Amino acid sequence: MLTPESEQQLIQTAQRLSGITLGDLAAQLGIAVPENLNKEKGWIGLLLERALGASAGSKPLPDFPELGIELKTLPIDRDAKVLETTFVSVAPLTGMSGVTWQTSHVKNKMAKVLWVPIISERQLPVAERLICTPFLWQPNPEEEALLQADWQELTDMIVLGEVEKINGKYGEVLQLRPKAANSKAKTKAFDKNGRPFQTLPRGFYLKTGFTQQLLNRHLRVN
Amino acid sequence: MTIAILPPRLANQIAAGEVVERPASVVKELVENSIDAGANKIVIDIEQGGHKRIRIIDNGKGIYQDQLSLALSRHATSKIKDLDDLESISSLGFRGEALASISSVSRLTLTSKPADQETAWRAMATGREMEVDIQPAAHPDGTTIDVEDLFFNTPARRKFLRTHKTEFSHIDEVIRRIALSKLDIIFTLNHNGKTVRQYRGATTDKQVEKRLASICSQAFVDNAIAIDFEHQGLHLFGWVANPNFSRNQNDLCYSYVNGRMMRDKLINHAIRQAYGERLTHDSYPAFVLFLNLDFDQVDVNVHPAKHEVRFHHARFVHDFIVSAISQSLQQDILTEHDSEQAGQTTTLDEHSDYRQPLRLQNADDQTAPVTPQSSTETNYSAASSQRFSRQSSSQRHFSDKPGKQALANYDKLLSTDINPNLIRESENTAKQSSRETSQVMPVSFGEDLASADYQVVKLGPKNTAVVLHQDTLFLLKTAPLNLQYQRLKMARILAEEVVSQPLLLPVAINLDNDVINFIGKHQQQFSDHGIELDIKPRGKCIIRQYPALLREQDIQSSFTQLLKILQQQSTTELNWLDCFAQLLCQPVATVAELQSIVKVLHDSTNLDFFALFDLNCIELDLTSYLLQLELAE
Repeated sequence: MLTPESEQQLIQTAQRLSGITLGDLAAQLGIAVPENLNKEKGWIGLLLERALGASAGSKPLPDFPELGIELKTLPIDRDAKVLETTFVSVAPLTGMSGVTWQTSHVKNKMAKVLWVPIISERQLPVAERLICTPFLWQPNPEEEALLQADWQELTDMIVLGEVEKINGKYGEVLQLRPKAANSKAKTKAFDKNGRPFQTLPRGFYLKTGFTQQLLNRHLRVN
Repeated sequence: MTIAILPPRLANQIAAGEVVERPASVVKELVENSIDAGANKIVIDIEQGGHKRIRIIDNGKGIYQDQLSLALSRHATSKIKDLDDLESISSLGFRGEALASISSVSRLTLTSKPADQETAWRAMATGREMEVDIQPAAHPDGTTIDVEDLFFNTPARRKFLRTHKTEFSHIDEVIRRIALSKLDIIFTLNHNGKTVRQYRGATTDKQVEKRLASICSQAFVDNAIAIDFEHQGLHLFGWVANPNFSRNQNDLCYSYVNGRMMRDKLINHAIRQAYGERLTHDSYPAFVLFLNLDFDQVDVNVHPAKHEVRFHHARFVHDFIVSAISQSLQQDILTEHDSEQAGQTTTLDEHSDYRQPLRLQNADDQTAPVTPQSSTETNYSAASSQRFSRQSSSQRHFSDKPGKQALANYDKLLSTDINPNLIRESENTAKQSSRETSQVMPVSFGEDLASADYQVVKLGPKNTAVVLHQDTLFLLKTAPLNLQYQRLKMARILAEEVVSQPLLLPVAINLDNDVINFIGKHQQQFSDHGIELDIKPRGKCIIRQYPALLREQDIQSSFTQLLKILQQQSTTELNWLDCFAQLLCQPVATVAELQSIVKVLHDSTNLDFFALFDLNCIELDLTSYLLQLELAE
């Protein structure tokens, strides 16, 4: 698939995918479907990147750098209920001096997102999972204010050495969670006395309530 | 139990529990008072670790005779007058509690003579009501506060006092902290009649260095890096020790905010973080740091003993301290490296404008033909003259700091009220738009006499209603009015672009050939009215987007009905307005609903309501019923 040249073109291409199963799409692209995704967590994302011509790969750029659009899959069930939180970006635990919302990864990543809901119930075999209608989203002022407030609170806690204190309860739409392949991968952070220590890497995640609301507003969910 | 006002002494004793923890806290409060009074010479006499006596003698501006009794009462202070002052406190004390609290748990005498008052007076508060007794006395200009037998009347608190030696060491520490912050004030600390500390006033660089050495040890001075950074209203200066001079205890951590000594978590956290890996996990940095910022940027009224403050822009302050100190430490390492390479021949290498350690050169590695004394002096004065001159250029150290705009955003952010209902609200608006189509606009009754002329009495069977008009009852067919009402509404909605909603999943419908042809002929119109569809072979139609105003309806049946209505239309142009109105037309459910429909139609200018009404109603002629009633009588 060629890199899309305009936003309009990308949306059109994306919308053509709706109603197709992952198995069909993979077959079209000549990609083998894995048995399960335990070992290949990012497979669905990669498949869609291929299908839509995303070019950035694993580079620290939006998936469609020319358009400034990030691609996110959104696992849902048959009733359009969002099943999982959505990973936004790794949360740097050090070197945060002077970082503001305006310059943050989260704001950057969330500037413009092409959401691809996928009916992805656990018991459904990967090949039978169904791509729903993708939609393009830009945070409106209220949404941005919510994200910003949460980002501010969580970042302040990280910087002031309270990273270990953060759990899912902090943040209204955005949460901070460990993100690691296993519990052995550690990264540097500062504790409450300002001393460096090793902890699990963290990531910012959008809570399901937030993405659910996006989905309900942009798509007709019956 | 009855409720009673506490006697003043007891109230003060309770307050004393917060402020007066031990002799050292008395010393702190009283010495701060002396500093606020402008004294430049303060003598502290301690007997038996402060258990027996704490006496502070200063040469400050003194207290006039007529204010002595007020000075000893609670919530009396010369330092603030109203709440606005509290927002911008520049003096050390302000709560107006110290003297009253201390005098409630000790035998306190206050002797004072302002320079322009001829004699000195002595005040003392006694008894349950703490009445103040004032006597003439002999005293030079200034104030002496003599605190004897601390906690004599609060045995519980007395039990917590430690040995004389321990309590004195706490006092020593307090004086050390204060002496660091007020380099120009002379402090003399005596214990049991012997002078233990003598801090001379320091104004020249050399004196400052000596005073620093006498308070923090010569080793600290040898390893200290002078820092001075100013950025957007924050001014951080003082000395940090290079990591070689780390401590096993946090006993050389002196931080001050606006001249007030602090044990603030945020500041300590920032400093420790700046050292990062340069210190081992169990060692502590040594520093003497002063942070000055606008008084309204910081809230000191957090803790009675004022050990903690709250910054209005906590993370900004934190980041500032981290960057400032880590840069200084980084530069120190670089310079050290450079000067090693240069064979220690120069102290004015190219990095010297970043850093200048107050390092005394040891006699044995001296290569320059200068005396140790003078070498020290040049070294230090270079450091400190630069300390004062560099303020203007310090901005560049923070090129990576947020710009004005970023800071403004940060400000805005901090002040933003987070509204937990935001999500719900926006959800509601989305729902509302769809609800509007099925719901009737609310109307207040009796507001409009003209439409009240048509009064809906009761809904009847089969979409009828009984309406009272000009004292006559009419039976009305409601459906035509309802449809007309939907048309009016639809006209308003269609005046703007139809909002089209993508479906979560496309819906496939099988249709007859002629229907497919019909759609194919008008596909652009379908699209213009929010219905995006693809026609596939074998009579298959795939709907991808559907109008938001039909949100509540099942797509399959709604679409079938829509096609039926459109196909039945006799006009050459498809009448979408009418079609949508019909799709959305629901039987009138309540009297109120019909009443408001009547009002809207009646008030509408592009509609002949009277004709519409006349066409759809019949007068209820009650004559025959009247006759029957008359017959029954």
